[in-house]
Amino acid sequence: MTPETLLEVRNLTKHFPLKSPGWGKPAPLLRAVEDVSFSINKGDTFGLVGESGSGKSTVARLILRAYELTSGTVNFRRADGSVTDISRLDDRALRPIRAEMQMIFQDPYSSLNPRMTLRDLIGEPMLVHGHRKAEIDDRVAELLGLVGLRPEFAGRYPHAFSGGQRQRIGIARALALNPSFIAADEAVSALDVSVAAQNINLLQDLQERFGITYLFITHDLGMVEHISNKLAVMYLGRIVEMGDTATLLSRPRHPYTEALLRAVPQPDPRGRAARRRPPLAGEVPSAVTPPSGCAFHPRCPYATPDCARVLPELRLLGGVQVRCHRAEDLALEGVHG
Amino acid sequence: MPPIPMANDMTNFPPERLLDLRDLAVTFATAEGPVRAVQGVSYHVNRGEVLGVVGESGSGKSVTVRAIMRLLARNATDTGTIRFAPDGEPLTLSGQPRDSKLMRSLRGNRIGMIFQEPMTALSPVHSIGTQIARTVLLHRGGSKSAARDRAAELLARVQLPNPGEMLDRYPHQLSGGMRQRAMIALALACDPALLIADEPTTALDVTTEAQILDLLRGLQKDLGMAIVFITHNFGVVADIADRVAVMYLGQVVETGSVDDIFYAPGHPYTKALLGSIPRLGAAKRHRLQTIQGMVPDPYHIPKGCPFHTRCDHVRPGLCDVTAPPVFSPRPGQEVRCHLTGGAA
Repeated sequence: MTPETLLEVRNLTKHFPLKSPGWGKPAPLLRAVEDVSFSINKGDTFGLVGESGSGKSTVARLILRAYELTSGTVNFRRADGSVTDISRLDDRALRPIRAEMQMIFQDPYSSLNPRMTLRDLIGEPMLVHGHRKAEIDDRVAELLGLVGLRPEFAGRYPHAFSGGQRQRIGIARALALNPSFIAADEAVSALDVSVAAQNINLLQDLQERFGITYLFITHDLGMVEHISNKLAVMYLGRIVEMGDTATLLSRPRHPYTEALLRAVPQPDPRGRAARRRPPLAGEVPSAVTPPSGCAFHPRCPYATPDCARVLPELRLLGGVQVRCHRAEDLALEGVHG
Repeated sequence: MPPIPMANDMTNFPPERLLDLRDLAVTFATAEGPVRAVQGVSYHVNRGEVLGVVGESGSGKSVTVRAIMRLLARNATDTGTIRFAPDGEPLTLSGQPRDSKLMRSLRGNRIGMIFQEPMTALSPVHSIGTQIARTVLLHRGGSKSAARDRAAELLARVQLPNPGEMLDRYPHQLSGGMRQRAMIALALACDPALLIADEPTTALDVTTEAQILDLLRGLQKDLGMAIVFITHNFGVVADIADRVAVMYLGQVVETGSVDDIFYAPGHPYTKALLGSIPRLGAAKRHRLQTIQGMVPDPYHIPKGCPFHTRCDHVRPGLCDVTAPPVFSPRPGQEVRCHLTGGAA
């Protein structure tokens, strides 16, 4: 790990065993995450994009140890500069580290306990970490101010707030213990556009002020282009392309990245006829019985017989890492700036 | 209440018009007081045209189409005129009870509807084929086997694989994208003149969304039906709509051709919304444009222009006092704002 690296994930894999089909038969495995490696530098926003079932949320939950890893390592740089592999630590050893890594969830309605006041919700992480009551009250007021809510709201319950405000309550709660790393899982996806914009600006302000590093998980390519400087695209549990956001989106090297970019409806009606391409056919295959070779080959317009046989390695090409046999010979279409 | 078509209404109903709303207002009686969800909405849809209706949560876009379908909740009352002319003479839908003979003959027949969540439209305990065939039998009559053939034809039309087999599948056996296609097949069962699509792609992944938009575009072209397409996504509107109505707090604040709305928006709310979406490939700005404050709660709708509490161009004494007039910057574009004619 270089000194700038905050988080380094190596060969992260998660297989969920499903119900066994009958006596003596082995339980099938859902291969949610397969051999995912990346690192995030301090102060960066690392975007992770993919469609449902790509494994992007599972990656965040594995990093935060909400799920046990099947294999792999997660190295995290602590506030004191030391590096710890947190993938095998037990709950007790994890507790101080958890203060430094937090998560923001998509659904602001189900991620806050409706029976707790904002003071209790936002103060809970501090209580767990042994802070004193007076200290907590002051900090809750400060946090509410930071996320643009009035400190007088501390005694209210979540139902009194709109979706965008609840999301801010979740952000305040995540900030309570001064984390250096926050994983935001579809943090603005459920919000109306004008409210999403307010919350995205808030996350960027907080990053500037406190130097927080984000793992930003989303299916929204416009949003990820706006907020992240590094980007990884996932398909069926694997990273298919990774690199600097602007480089990757302007000159994609993987056919799936190209297909995703083409699928995004653009707020530009004049260009619509010219932009129109036949949409990517088919659906994301099952992660229980993934296709052989490159998992994207059944849907890929550029696939050759080789693609069904051999799994491509992630390799460096033109400044990005790409997992495609044909990356050199394809001239794929990116976004035009 | 029986439908009473008024003579002077007939005069301003041109032959190309399919649906016409005038001053539609919907109020819900709740324990906390009346909620005025829709207040004075007027828009129209011409035959074979796609009208995109955009707005954020609570803008009244879904309540408006529920009023058209006469499927409002029982605590709702509505006023205004809704006229629909699927075959020649306009029918007056306003005032019709939800279970009137007219409405029952129109819904599923001349008006189809698709939703964000296919399971709101599909029955979980009947096969896809049965659901479509029964709709065909109800409105068209004929034999059971002919209705089943029609169902298979529709499933093929929405590009479901193996339509013959699909007839006997149940919704839970299908993926999200396939259910969406089955629901579209059901809505199209009797060749509707109007398809109401309420956020039909919002819950889908982008590649599936692109497939469904492509399908709807193709069907619309081939069948010549009109679509009212409700969405909060400006990208989707730009992709599918011919004309656009922008709604805020139960009112249409601006209507116009899709080009006018995107390249020459007149209302400050339309402009602000367009500025708040991160566009793919746009020069990376540091900050997204936001709209100050939040949508007021529906019990306390602001006086005057409903947007004045959040508008950057608000003129005290004017915008917070009187409802703005309709201003037309160019033919076909209408903006409800005090300032569009001059200052904004």
